[in-house]
Amino acid sequence: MVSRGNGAGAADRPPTEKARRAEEARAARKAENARREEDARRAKRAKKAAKARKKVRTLSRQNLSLAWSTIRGRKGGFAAVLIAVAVGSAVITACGVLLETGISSGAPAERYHGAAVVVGGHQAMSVEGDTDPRLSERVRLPADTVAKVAAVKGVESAVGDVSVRTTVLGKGSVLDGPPVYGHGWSAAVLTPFALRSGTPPRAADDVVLDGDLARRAGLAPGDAVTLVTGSAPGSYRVSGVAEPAAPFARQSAVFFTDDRAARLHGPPGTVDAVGVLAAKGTDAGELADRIEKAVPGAVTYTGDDRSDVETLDVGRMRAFVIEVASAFGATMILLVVIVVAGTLALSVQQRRRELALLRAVGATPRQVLRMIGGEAVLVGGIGAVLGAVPGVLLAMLLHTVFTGAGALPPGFSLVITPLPLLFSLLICVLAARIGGRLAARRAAKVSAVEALGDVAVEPKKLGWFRLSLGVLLVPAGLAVAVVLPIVLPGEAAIEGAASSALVLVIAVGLLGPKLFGGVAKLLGRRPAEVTRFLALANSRARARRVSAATTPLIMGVTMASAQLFSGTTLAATAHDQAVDGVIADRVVTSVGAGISPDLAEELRRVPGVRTVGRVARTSTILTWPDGDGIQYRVSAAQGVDPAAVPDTLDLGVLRGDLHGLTGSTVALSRLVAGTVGADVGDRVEVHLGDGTVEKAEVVAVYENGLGFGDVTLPHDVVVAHTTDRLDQWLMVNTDREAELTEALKAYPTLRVGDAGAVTAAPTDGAGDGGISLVLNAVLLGYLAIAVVNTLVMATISRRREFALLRLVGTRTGQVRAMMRQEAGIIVLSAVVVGTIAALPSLIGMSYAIRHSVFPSIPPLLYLGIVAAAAAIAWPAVMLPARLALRPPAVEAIAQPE
Amino acid sequence: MAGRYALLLESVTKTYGSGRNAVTALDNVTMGVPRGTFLAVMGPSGSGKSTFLHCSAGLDRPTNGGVTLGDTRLTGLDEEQLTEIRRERVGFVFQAYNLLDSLTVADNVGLPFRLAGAPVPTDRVRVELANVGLADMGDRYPGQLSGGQRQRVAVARALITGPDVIFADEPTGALDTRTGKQVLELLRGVVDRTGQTVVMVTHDPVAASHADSVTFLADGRLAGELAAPTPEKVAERMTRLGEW
Repeated sequence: MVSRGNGAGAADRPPTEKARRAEEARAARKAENARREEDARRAKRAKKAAKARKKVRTLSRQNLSLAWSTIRGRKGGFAAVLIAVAVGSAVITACGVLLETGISSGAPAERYHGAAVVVGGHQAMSVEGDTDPRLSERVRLPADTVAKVAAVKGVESAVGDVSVRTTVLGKGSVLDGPPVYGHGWSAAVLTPFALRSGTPPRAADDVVLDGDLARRAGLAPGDAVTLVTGSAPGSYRVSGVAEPAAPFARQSAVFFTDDRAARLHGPPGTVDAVGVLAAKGTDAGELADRIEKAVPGAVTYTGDDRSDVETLDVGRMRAFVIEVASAFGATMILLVVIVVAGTLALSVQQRRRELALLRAVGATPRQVLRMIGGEAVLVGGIGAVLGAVPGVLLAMLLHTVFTGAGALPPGFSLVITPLPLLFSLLICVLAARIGGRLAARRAAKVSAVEALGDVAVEPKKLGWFRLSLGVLLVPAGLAVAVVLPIVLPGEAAIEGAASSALVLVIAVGLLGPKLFGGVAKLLGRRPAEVTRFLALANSRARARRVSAATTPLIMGVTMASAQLFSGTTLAATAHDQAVDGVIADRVVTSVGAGISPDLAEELRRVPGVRTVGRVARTSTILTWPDGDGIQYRVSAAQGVDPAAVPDTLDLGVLRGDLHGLTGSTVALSRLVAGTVGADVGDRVEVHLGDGTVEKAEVVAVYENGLGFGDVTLPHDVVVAHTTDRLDQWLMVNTDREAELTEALKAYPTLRVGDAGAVTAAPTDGAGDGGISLVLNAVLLGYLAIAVVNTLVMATISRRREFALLRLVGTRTGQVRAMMRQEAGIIVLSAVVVGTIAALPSLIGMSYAIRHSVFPSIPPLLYLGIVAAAAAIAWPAVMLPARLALRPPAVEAIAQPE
Repeated sequence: MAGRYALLLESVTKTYGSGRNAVTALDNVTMGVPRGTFLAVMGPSGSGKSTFLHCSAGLDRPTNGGVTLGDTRLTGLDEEQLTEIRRERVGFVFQAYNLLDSLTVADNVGLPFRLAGAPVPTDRVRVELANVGLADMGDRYPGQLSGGQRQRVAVARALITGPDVIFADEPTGALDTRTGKQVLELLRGVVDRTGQTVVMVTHDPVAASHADSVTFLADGRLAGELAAPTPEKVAERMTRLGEW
């Protein structure tokens, strides 16, 4: 009929026109053919899906190929998921690389470079079924270890080594640079050092300097030099300058005579380590085994591990990197799962029509489920692989930043193996699998009828499971945040409060649409202004989609608030406690290693001085029985003179009396007392800095643990078990300050200040604060990418809606105004909901640490979070909106969704 | 002139592209649609039906010639002015996707007033909804309506501003025969009862038979007219025009 009609119509037309008409007819036929082909393809897809159903296990090849062709056909929708996975994979990879670096890397040995094996004490506390916490102070070896080691077969010689923290005074002021350690000249062979000029130290006041140090101080053999060990300056003569076999990066060395070194070292009859020079042809590993067997209590170090015993900070930093990388990595994994699941859900939601069509042509819900699962796994895998290289680059960047901030020792090299990459691949595929499953569960419920319908309405009600889980998580999160600090003593409360933010964020994700609708309702139901009216209607009706797009922003606001303000609250509390707690007139501090304990006695004789209270700092490990096992906690500790405390320090004693702090006694902060479950009169097991165990009786419980450390011990107990045996501060009450200053003139490394000096003195690893800031920035950066991702995806898919609006007479300016309103609603609700989700944890934490329900929230910092949320979300909505408004409305409306 | 025609096209030509690739979609079309009439525009694929509709309704600008809608000449108006014309003087009924999913039926109908910044005359919204047989449906959302009901909401929205012309682009294309017929009878009734002007583009002879007259397009040119159309006559004319 068609062809006849064509001929009849064409008969009375000019031939050129006839040709044109014929061509048109061909085009129409072509279109028809294309349609048929498309139908056939769809049928084929459905058939493939039907085949796939027969395969019971999750991922058949057909399923994957079906998924693959869908992915290829819908690049846009998958790009967002891909980005979420790839960036997440990069961050997880980076964490993995850092973790592996912390575990298996080391800095090359410097001073023990020439020693095949180094023997040291057991620098950790043994804990069954847990990682052994490191001891903060040097665990020394008895001096007779040297002879015992020397007797082992394969040992050519064994040299006992001591390290004495030394400060070099160059031209009257303290010389900057890496820490300087003093040793006996006989230990120079462990590097080995070669004398470049001069002679070895022979007289008691002779020293040999390492070449770099001599250059920086401008010293040559024959020059006089002042070295401060402890806080007492000593006059020495440079007898020689020696060069190490390989240049040092982490330390400088000075060499005394062996006698002088032993005398400066303090504890008689001990060495810090024993360096072993192996006989020719002896394997270091085997030799180490033999030494450990022959010398009980000795721990051997070979290879890069030697640097752990060389200076304690390498081991401490290594432990720190492991802890930070694993804690941060765990949080990131959780975030990646949430973000990937959310993005996948959004992308599936936007394909409802296509899925409905699949259902209409005969795909079963199971098949739809499988297909989406397959897509998710494919995208997850590809994303993870794409993120691998950036992940390694990120790890390199973090490594550089950490090293620069002093949280990693120089020379601590990055270890890159395929392991973290494989791990990240596994996690990402798993995250995509979980996310895909959640998204597919709903997608599979799409009815076939929807394919024929025009509107893709979202189901009004949330699933009962989602709703009840979300509703249950809210009181759970609140309970953890608020009830725990009231009910539980100790720090479990703080940790609980901190995790509540995460619980509430998940609840927010689940209840998002409800919350979102609620916020939109609060803003007024039917405002007169049309763009506002439309924006609110959209936010209400599309609550599900908008909330899925907003969830990452809410999470960002919550995480940022929780992390930053718990930090500010802790810092403010510590600062307040320390500032309010120091009641001494003046505080003596040291810019060198510390203050010699005997200086206090000297200062007490200075006219006008009424009290001198010594404060030494260390780190202790408390252990207490818990069920079948033993729990432990590492706490900052201080050693004080109990007699001087009432006039110099206010620890905020709650129970008991600090006067009794002599002998085997201890005072605990309220939090730690609660954690350990001990009160005045009980005995607790305190592992001192070098591992010595003290069964101490609790004589007092005090409030100001954040400012002064959670454990307070008698001064002598602390000092005797530290590496350097020095005090941190002297608290002085004096009527005649001038005389105090005069008395301290003889001590070039000491300074006199007021209470402010206490807070200024580093209490923890100096780089730690900066490191967590950097890691939080990475975390928030990931969330920012997720935010942009989902918002762009949500906005760009509204082309057709914008087109309809324009066709019925909405000016593009009005559409833009509407989107501005929506962006405003998104930012506003994210800030409101995010802040509300963060508050319980902050309030709970604040209550736990200082009995105040008001956390410290610096207004500017909070404004910064709000501004950042707006700065991220605003362009992510407005730019794609502009883009979506670009094509002519009549074309846009004809395009499929 | 202003009195007689609701829509007047004078020597309208629309060319897409330029040089050798230029395609002439409308070729020197001159025609007028008298007020209070129901005109169907038919033609094979590629005959220029859509371009005719877009140019007439101010969605697209002709390359040459002039379009007058009511007593307003569209030539020379900028996009903002055209948008305003669309909002106040033109009603649209598309094949599908006519309504904003996030607004209720009543809000969809009242939208043109809101966009103009005018108060929504709720009584009129109610009357128009009653006129299209959806008196009780004002609070529902489009997702809760059938396809035919949605098209009737679209007609109500098109009517509410009292436009010069209602343009309908395959308004029954996505509907079954029965509901399609209801929508067509609704449009017919609007013309008969209120003297509204309706221009409908369609390829369905049955749909076209509801109109007062049918104008045929082929290759961008007018290819005849048919008064008092019946489905058979229309089909016969279309068959002669070629594949459709």
